[in-house]
Amino acid sequence: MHISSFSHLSQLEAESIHIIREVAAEFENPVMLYSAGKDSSVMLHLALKAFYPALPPFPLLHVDTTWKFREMIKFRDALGAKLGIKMLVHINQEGIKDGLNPFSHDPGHYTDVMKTVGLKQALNHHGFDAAMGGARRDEERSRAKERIFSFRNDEHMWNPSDQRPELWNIYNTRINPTESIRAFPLSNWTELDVWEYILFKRIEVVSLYFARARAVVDIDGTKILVDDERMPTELRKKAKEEFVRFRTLGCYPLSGAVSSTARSVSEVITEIKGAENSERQGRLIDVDSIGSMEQKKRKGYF
Amino acid sequence: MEYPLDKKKALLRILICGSVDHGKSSLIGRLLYDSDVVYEDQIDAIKSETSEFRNENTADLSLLVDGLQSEKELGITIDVAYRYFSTIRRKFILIDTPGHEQYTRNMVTGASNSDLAVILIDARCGLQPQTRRHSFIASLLGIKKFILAINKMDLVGFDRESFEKICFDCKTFFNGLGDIEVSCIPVSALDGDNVVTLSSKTPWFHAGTLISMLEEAQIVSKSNTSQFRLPIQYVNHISSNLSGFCGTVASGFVRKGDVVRILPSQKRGTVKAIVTYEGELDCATDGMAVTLIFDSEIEASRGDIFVHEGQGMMEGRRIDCTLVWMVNNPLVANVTYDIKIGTRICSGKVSAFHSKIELENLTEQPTNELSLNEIGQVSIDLEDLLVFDLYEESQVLGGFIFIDRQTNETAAAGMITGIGKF
Repeated sequence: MHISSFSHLSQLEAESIHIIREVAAEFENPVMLYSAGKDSSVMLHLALKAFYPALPPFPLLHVDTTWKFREMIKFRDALGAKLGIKMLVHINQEGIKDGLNPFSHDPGHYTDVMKTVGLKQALNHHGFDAAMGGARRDEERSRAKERIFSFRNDEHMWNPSDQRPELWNIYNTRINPTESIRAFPLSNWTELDVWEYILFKRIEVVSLYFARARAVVDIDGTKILVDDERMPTELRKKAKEEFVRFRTLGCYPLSGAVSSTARSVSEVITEIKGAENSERQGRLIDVDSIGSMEQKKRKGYF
Repeated sequence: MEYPLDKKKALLRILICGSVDHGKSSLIGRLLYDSDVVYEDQIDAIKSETSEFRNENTADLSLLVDGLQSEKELGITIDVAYRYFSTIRRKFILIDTPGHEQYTRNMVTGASNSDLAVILIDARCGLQPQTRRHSFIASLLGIKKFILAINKMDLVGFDRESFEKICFDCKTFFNGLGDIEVSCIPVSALDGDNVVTLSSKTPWFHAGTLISMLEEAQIVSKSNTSQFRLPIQYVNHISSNLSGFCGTVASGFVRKGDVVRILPSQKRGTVKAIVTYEGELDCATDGMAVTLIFDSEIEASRGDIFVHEGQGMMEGRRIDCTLVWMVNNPLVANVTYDIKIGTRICSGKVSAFHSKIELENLTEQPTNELSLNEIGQVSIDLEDLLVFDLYEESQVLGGFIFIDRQTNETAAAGMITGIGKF
């Protein structure tokens, strides 16, 4: 018996690569979800490593709600072009037709239609049998119990009380034709691991994660960035310049900024180590009711 | 190329188990809370839940741990949950499995991914049958290091004699489980004594805190062999005449220039390069996910295994193994299941039941089937020749799962103990 000399990041990296390769080997039509956020950036980096010198044998998919930060969309398009990986973008046109808007509609309903339903539409349309996502178990308590290979029925629903036991690093990937698997290569990473990895590997992330003076509006205690002219005028009038950054990114009207002076990856790491609030606190869609993430995941959300 | 990454902080996976009412959730809550990974908003969320579900107004640290809504109402955890925290010296993953006996399958699952087990014992009750069961299962899955947290020491007045009596009982019991390292520590999870901070109430105890034990525990590899094994996970068609063979090194190491054999075909190849995104490596060791390129075209596919020339593996069409049954439909002889071992899938059926383990008293009984949560010793007949290691040598190439061909469920966890006799 010998002593393992791996550092925690190289161990996490090797495990994630193993998971990504297992998806590529076992499924006929897998896809990797990509959001332009930091977790996606790390997951994509791991996918590039897993198949180097070839490109990953699957496309990326971005479920675009049309309300993402403008910089994320620019970043996504530039990255797809640079890497030469197929970047699929899906927008739920029914939600657009209904004029769904996170400022005037219930955030829970908006998220369900534009993200959950949008994701399901895209998966069905392309016939993907496995979708990799950058979710981490440390983000939220219901995620902490989800398997790395998470079975979804023909409605993309998750049943937390009927999950396949996951032993060693052997993953049961067996499904019937209409069913699918969501695989989470970053399950065992924490927010801090992600940032340390970004630092060591010099992974590019959107600048929204770093502090600078930005025009934000305080909506019920949450600082919302004035990202475009779609923010209602009466709100925009209240905008103030503040030194802020984002810990988590989604739709701009639903992602709260935090006061910060961290302008670089290493300053972000220092800040996280001393943080009093968790990463998802800035996410308005999670706080509407107790167990809200679990309810969303049961319906097919990531 | 910096591999391992320059930040030298190891990862330790801890299986934590104990009876529902021995304070396990409080202990986990305490480890998370005192090591500062619980954020203010999470504490607020717990306070709101505490009042909604339990009609109290103080934060119940155990609620940090009891994850899913349906379970929160019952006040217990019923599945495998993962918690993360770190200190300056280590990153920890706490694998939480329920204390209730009918959930053997969850414990087995948690133990299969753990380096060390922390077993909670109520200082008022001492060594209970359930403690024996948990320890037995964890040791069956290959865990070699145990920390016994004797909890609720506040309720026995931090009495040294009570503690030492329990330690003695436990060590006697563990002696019968084989080559295992056992440490005991007196704690009070509720008040935090000896969890993260040293208690002034146990001046007679000199082995530090639970967290210092976890920081100092040696992390050992999942394999006991130093022989090179690499199960091919994925064949990467890099170009029309160049293939890369991807996989995670299961044990030992491989160097550039090594002659390797492909099992089961016995064909040979010379490693031309160990390719990674950050450059070529001279050597790849246990646990690394790499890609091998050979100096000439070789025939190998997913499920085949690379070994060093001159170092064979066991092979056979009948294996003896310990099997843990995990689904409602009982296991009977001569029903075919798919078996996933390493990166290979084959088929096989149980041809003989040798015994089952009575978890109540850890004795062996004759049987001709296994029901949900039962553990037995069986022989399996395989449809094709299987190349494998014994589980005690390699968890990667000696551990397997059964997949039900009708339901696709993971029906069993198996550990190979020997070549079966015909």
